[in-house]
Amino acid sequence: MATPTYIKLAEVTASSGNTLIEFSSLPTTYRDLVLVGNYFNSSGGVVSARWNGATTSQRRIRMFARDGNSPYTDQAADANIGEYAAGDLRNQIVVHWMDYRATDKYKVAIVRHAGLNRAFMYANHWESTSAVTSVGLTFNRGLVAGSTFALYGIE
Amino acid sequence: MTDIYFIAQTEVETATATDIEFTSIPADYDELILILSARSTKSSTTDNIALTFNSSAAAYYGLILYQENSGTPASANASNVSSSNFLYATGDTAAANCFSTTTVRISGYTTTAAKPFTIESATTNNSSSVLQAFGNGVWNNSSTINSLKLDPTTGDFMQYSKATLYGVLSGSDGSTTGSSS
Repeated sequence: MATPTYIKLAEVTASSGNTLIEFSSLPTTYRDLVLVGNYFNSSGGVVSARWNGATTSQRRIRMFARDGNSPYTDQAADANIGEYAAGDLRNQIVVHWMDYRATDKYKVAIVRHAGLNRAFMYANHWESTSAVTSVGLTFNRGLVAGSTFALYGIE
Repeated sequence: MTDIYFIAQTEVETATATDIEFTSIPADYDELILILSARSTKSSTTDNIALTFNSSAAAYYGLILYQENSGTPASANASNVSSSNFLYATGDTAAANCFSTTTVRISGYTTTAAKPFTIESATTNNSSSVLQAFGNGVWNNSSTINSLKLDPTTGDFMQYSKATLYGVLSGSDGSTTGSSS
């Protein structure tokens, strides 16, 4: 029999003004984690990845387009994994945290972020060989109440 | 136990079908994932596929990044249009047996908020005429999504096109902790 996969682990519904979403006490039974966020902010800003409670020691590369303009790519030593705008109707972010228990490699997350007239794909990496014990997102503008975030485990 | 559930699958078993539609989608899940394998009768290597919810022909927004053949990547956007038109089928001038593959992920489909979704779509061929795309859409409607329709913009679905719909249930395993602050 095939191994069950895509197991629900935890979910969070944000209160108004929250800027941090964190999942901790992670199980050690899965290979990857998938975080799915459905969120809204009344002001524009940036969403960043947190590995073990930190937004440091990260690099990312992204491909994106806004408003139908020519796609663009860039890379930087920061934790940016998405952008949102004041006029967005609703945003969806899917973060695939890969091989999070490994202690012999730097960690990688693949991100798909959708907003109104903007689309982003990111590859983020955290320069640490530590096992991941918590994952999270930070927003530099407060969330609107009712934004939801769910974490799943993949075997 | 797994928390992704099969809801329904439709395969075009006759020569062609004008559309594929899922109706009476249960409101029991937190997300929907659609997997589509498609080929269109359009006399081209690519056809767009219109995605609509609840038979609504209004308030779709979206943006797509796409790479066609070996050219420069491009993008296109749509604002308040009658469908999400950024899914792709392999067209009928592509090599035989080639189908596109598409994944659409829709979160919050039972909420009263606007419904965002991501799209990944790629046509296939045995020549250089192919397309791959990543993008998104938002349906600005407060209704729960209870039906989902796929309709090639120019052609019809060819035989063996297949769409499968899954539901994903979020929740707690009793030990992982989630918090917001």
